[in-house]
Amino acid sequence: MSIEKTLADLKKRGEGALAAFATAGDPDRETSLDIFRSLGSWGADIIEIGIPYSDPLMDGPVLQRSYTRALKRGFKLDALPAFVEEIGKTSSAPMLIMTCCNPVLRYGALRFFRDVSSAGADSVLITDMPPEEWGESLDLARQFNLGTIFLLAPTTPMSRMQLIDGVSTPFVYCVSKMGVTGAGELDLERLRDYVRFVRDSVSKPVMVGFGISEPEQAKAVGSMADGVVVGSAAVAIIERHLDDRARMFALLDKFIGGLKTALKP
Amino acid sequence: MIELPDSKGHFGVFGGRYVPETLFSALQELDEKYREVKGDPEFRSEFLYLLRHYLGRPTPLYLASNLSKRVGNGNRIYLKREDLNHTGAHKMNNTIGQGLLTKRLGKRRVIAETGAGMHGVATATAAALLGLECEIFMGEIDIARQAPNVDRMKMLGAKVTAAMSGTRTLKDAVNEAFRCWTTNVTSTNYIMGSVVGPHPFPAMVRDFQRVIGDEAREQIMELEGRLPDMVTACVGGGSNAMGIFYPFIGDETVELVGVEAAGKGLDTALHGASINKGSVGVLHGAMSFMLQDEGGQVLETHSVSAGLDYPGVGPEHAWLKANGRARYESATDDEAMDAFYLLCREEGILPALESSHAIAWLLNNDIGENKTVILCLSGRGDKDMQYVSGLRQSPAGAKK
Repeated sequence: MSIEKTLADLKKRGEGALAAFATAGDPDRETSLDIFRSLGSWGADIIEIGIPYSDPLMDGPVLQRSYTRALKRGFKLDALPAFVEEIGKTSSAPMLIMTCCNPVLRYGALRFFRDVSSAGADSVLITDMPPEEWGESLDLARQFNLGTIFLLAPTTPMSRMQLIDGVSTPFVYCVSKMGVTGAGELDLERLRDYVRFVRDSVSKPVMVGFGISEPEQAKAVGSMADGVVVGSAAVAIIERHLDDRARMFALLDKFIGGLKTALKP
Repeated sequence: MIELPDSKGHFGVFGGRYVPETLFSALQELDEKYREVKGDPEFRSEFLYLLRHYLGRPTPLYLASNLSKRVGNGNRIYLKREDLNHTGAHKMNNTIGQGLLTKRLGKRRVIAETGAGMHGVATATAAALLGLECEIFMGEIDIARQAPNVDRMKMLGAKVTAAMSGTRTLKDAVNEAFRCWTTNVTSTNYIMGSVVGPHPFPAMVRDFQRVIGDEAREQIMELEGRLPDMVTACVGGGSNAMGIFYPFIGDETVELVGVEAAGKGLDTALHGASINKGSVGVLHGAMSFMLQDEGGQVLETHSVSAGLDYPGVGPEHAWLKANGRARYESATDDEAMDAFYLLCREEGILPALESSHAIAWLLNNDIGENKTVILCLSGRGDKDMQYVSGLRQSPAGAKK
């Protein structure tokens, strides 16, 4: 099922969507593959596959370290399409690829869109490529039926919100706070006002991410937006239990499940 | 000549603003404010006043006769003495400009990255002068090897924060500065140290540094009654080179030569020659040449000079390379060290190891006969003394 349809169905049920992020190849290919294959059964509605990069500008220490682990274990972008295809064989949750632009440009934008699309990805989010820099790549992505998701930040002025709303499909990714990815302080009152404002300003579904790590936060945000994205908090569980896979999986199950429960009516 | 960059910060395919959304509007705000002050006579006169009375500009253009003899063939080598600026390098031209701009933005705090510490010191100095709070990001490894500059920044009232991620050198200091800016963008301005980064930094830093070339052009006309045949400078990120090249770009008879760090040799993996050995990609918010592997991951670099130890280069240099207006050569660590000693012994000038690369290239290559050359001596080498004397007890390789 597509992300668009997934979000529409959940909305009908009055249920918030949960997108769960992990880094491709972290801590190693096999474990990573099992994590992605399980995310759906643990409660994620959308799977977000992060591409390791040596110099991410937007990511906090937790994701930086996960990229480093994956790169050390030999992650190559060339292997991504096969990896995505493998996930899709046993998992039905739609997949979103999140990446910095340089690996994609090096791979070739057209080739990248073609390969991840035929491997089964639904959408791409290139975190450091604002709409202004996409040029004809936007049409290329569309040609391969890929959604192009863009970020919207607390610093984004009203005029730009319309621009982003226009190009961002199937949803707008609303950044919850000023800062990099990772758990930090979230002022729920302020966040609620901000998310309400964003929701009322854009036409697309709104998913909220950055710093969401607790069911209470998911519940509060989920009542305002179409859903939440969880990333660093899940990756931190992976990082803390590198030596104990059984425990890593059990805790991820519990963590993802807890967030999903909080998003249900 | 078409004015570049375009309104979105592109020099041909290079440049641009490849940044996360959180920073986008801050860059737009910076761009708008910069364009506003660029045409503001009051800003301009404040800037020029400080360049003159605080930095000590104009810096001399000095005919280095002994060096010229070494280069030979009747070539005349002029040194543009940026080493005589307050704090010892060209860096302050830019930090004064961006510092004044920060005040116009109504922001009270600046952050910056630094490699060897020269830009850090220059930013901390401007911040002290202009009453701004200052935090400098510096790779953990660079902090260890540039201790005097770290102390100096602290004495100037700056907070020095170690970049612990990645290779813990300059590129990671840039990453950390960007991450910090993302979190504090409404209160803080980022003072970029070179002609790199997202628009408007490459254009803005170039404009603040072009005073080097403007002065040099005027001085050579006065001294020689004509334009030089060649202008040369070292290129890491490329701010001193861009500053001295820029006013000469329209003068087609003037050859522009940038000199990159060849480290242990261009045929090894240990160099910082982004143009000579790199490929097109996006690093730190701009498209340019960069050192990357086939998967698009950024490579580690090496140079004896911390200021050239960087895997990227300013997008306008990439543009000048692509359209053939400038050419980019290189000099190795050893050649730069020899040139360092030669300038000390023959001219009584202790050059920065960065600038030594440009001197080395002139000494080791056939540049023709009876040419008038301007070389940007971007900084002084006091910062490098400890390192150099530790590396070599005697100038074994210096040509005598």
